[in-house]
Amino acid sequence: MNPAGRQPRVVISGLGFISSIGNDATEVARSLRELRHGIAPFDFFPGHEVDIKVAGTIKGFDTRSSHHAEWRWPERYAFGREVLRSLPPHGLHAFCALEQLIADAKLTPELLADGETGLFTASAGSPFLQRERLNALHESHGGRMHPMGVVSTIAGTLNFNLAPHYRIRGAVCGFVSACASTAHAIGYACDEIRLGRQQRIVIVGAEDLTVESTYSFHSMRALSRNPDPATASRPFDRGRDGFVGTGGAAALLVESAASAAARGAPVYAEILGWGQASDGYNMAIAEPDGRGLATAMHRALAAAGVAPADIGYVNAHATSTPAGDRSEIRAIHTVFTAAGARPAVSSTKALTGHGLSMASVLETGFCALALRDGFTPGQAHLVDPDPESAGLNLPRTTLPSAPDYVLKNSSGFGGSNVALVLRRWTA
Amino acid sequence: MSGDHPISEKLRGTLRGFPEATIQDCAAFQATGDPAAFERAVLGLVHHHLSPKPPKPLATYPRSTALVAELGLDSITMVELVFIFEDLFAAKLPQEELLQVVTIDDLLNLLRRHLPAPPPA
Repeated sequence: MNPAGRQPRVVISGLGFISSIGNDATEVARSLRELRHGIAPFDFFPGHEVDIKVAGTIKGFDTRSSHHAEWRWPERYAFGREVLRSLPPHGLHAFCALEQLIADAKLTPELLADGETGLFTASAGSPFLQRERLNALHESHGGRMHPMGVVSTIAGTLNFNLAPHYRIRGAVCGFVSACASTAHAIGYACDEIRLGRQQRIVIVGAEDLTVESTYSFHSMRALSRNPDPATASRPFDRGRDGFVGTGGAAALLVESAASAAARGAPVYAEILGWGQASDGYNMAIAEPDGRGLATAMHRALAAAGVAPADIGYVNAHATSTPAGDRSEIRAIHTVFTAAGARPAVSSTKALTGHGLSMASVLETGFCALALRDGFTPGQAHLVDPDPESAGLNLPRTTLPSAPDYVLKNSSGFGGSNVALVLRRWTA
Repeated sequence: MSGDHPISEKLRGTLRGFPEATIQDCAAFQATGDPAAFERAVLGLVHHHLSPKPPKPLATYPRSTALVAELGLDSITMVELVFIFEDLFAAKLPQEELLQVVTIDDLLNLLRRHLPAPPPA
């Protein structure tokens, strides 16, 4: 609570991106406006013909080696051995995204270390690096244990590495709800700030793009087998056949409006509220009618004090899987169509691919850019809409104006659903 | 820096990212068992792990210089060094003896005690 006894307003006041559609906010905003995708041929098993042929690739980086001395990244970022030694590939991306956020939000080393700044992160860890380290351990019968084998590979590696480097002394923890992880992180960050426990919380999501992190989803037939980068990820289209994997990192600053204003930080959008609900249905498949997601959206709208008709844009979770997209379509009908509301709906995963635990912070960042810059991302790659989407407003091109209110959906394995409500910023 | 000695693929792999001079010193010691190359190699390996780097070359410091208290080596970095030493020198360094290491000299002596016999001259 602030001194007047009112809850502080919460805003997004800094962004950073290392993504398949751009390695900074300017490039990302341009890709969103022009619906320029970042999907490209990707050789998961060089020299072998395999089912999955494309991914949302990160340009300007090479992190294929398990040894950081062989990594390459843009010259504008300078990191020494003492930073790199305990990072997985996606850790490098996370550091770069956070460097962008710090500059964007005008955060000083003193503010980062003042105890009023927290850090909430999510990644699946690095099964790629873990496999290397554990193989060496097994092959040596316990004799060779890489000193950084644990901290560079397990879920939580982003916290372990980022918090000490930036001397972050506020609330630091990680979130594990698969593809809803960073939506949970943003929601709970809002709560921390509203409760007066923190002034600002940095959200960082990142993932490796590797055989181990990405191709492994093919084991449950979740990935698109379509070899065409221009159509492999096509949420809501009748021809969709699975998601396209991506990696990289996204960083977003959640902050009290007063704290951001005091520093003259850029304000992209206000976060009005959030809601969550679980399907209680299946470890991997979304509940067919999207009841959990619909409940999460209803709770987010109630928390925000906003009616369905107020929402101008829904940034969908839709990953381009047949069952998942259908479930979300039904959830959107339940919340919006049934209330006579017809917001624009699109899934930007058509452009990026699916960033797993990073996806929510990446896409909330997209919504923040759209609200600040005045546009609404269209639904790329939609040619033949799923018949169940009849009645939904799926604009095929980017709209030249921003809505007043945005709802962002996220869903993860086990049926975890989160919705966030954002508003165009007015002081 | 030592003269030209063949550098094995394994040595290159272990020392990815290290200065070329240190790699050469390690190769020279592996080929000849030369005590001077050994010391240069060890000091080069330690220097590479220090952050921030000391203002002067490590060889100019007294051998009584404390690794932790004066050079800022922390315990996890010491474990990284041990990981490298064990790989390079095919030695197994007992934990109880490692805990006794305080100075540069202590480290050199510990390694000397556990090095395999030098190659025949």
